[in-house]
Amino acid sequence: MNRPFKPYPFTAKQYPASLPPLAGGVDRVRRPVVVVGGGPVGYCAALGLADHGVPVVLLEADDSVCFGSRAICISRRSLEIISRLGAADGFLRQGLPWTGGRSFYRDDEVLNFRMPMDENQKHPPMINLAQYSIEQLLLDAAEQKSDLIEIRWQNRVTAIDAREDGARLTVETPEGCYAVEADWVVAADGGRSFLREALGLKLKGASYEGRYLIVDIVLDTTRPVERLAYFDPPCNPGSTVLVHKQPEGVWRVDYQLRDGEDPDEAIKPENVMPRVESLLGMMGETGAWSPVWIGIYKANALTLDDYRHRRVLFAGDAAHLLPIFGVRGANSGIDDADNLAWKLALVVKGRASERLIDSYSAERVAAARENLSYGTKSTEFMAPPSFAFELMRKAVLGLAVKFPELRSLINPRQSSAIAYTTSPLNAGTQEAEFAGGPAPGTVLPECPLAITEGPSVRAGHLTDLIGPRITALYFAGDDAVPNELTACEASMLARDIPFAIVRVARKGNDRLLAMYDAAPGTLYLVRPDGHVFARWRRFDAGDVTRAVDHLLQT
Amino acid sequence: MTEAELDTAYTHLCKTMTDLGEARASLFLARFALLAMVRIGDAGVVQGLTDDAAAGVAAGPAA
Repeated sequence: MNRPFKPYPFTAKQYPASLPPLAGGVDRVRRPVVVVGGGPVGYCAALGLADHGVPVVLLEADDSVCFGSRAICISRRSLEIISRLGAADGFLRQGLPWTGGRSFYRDDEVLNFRMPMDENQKHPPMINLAQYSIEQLLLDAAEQKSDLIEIRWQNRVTAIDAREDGARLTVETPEGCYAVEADWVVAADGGRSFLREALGLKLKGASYEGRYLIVDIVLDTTRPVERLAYFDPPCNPGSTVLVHKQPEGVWRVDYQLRDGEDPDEAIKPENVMPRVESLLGMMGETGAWSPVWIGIYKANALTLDDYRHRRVLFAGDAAHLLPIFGVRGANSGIDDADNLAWKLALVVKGRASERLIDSYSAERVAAARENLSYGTKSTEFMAPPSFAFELMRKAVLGLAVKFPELRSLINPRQSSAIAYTTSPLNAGTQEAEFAGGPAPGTVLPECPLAITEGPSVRAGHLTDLIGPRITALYFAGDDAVPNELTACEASMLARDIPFAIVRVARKGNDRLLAMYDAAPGTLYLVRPDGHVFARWRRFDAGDVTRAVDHLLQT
Repeated sequence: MTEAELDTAYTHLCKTMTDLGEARASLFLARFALLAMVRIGDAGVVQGLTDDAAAGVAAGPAA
């Protein structure tokens, strides 16, 4: 049985190669930041830097956004970040939101999970969107900021000289070769990162033997969006199958190959089509379908020990490779970019010490290790690495219908925001006085609130208030913002440190006050990436200044 | 036991059994079952768990 392939419902625009004005084969301008790699991570880093007013050159080896089946799930935390970068509208318009999923063992449903979704949330816990669309939407946003972001297509980096005070990149293009000097380089050049190889840096961790076949199809159906997992299904005994819906009628089907199965044989269309056909039959899908893409995937759980090498900063898959299960790949890369952008911007502008950059590595390596431990657990369940994991999984799946207390072991542990609880940037000395609310290092929990702007009050969400600045969330009683805090703000702005006070009125914000364990006079300081870095029940100007100086490591 | 603790216990058991090797897995599980029995300390519960563990096993393929 064979079926003709259909193209993806997406046409990528192709871009010509571009060269900057050269002097002796070298870009005339020494660039403060060069981002290598035009994927989701590179674009988010460039957009974040531009938000802080830092000009960026982005080098992309290809002539268009990506092709094929890659990342497809964007988490709530990523949507928050992308919102701040001004690109969320397209994601929410095009992406398919979902809140949970079901797992089956043979014929029985053994898990029906829901991700946290309550009335406090602005964004769904997850949307499905193909990576080519993710890149296109971020590219559209970057093109809106062409005064600060220069994208050079068909610019392939072929050598790097990394020094203590910068780096020189050699770039090949169809129009010729040139070099560019940069103060800082963001290496967002993906899982097979050239820069990582060229600098002799090694990823460490585990690679798993289990392989998955990835098949994208277009299917005519009205089935709702949810994550489906089939263990040992009647259509494909002994295998594990995952099913995800994407926009425009595209469905992603992931099959675990059986032990000893030859990947080169399994990937042949004549072997793939009957498996998809029998899966769709089992699911009761009778609509027309066509294959779009077939690929193969092997789970890795690897990271660099340090994301900084002199002036080169690694982010996304260039820095770490996470297993597919739990959708942490692209999402953790977007978090890397969000963490890095404001730090690099403040260092480039001379507002923070270079030590702030070291905190990027400290925080994001710790995040990668946390992601790896969750991803490893998911992988050990989804693609058991030994007879023991296989045997125990079989026991869990067989008992889960009758014993619900075992079902948490089947839960896919989807990506969620990570707290930098041990970050060197955290400050504040009154933790014991808080019985709840986000401690330093934690991402702001979402909450609807009444935003007062002059005489008018509008409904919004807390994450709407975070911008490319340090935000001081002041919980007011009936009073105005105290003079001490406005004086602080004035002195920060005089030092050209981006800082803004947001006064949260008591009226209409009961839920927020409870969630943040806030009383009149409570102050939270929030980083540009939405993580709390200090909070007080009572504060004075000295506390605030010291916490900000500590944050900027000055 | 919380979900996280169950998760950790599960992984520890899987890794221990992996290290012992497949040939010794049955003996390991038998010893674990015995220790669990005496720790549970309730004959009725142990008998019920034994029956629950056996239910449906005969119907499926061998491990």
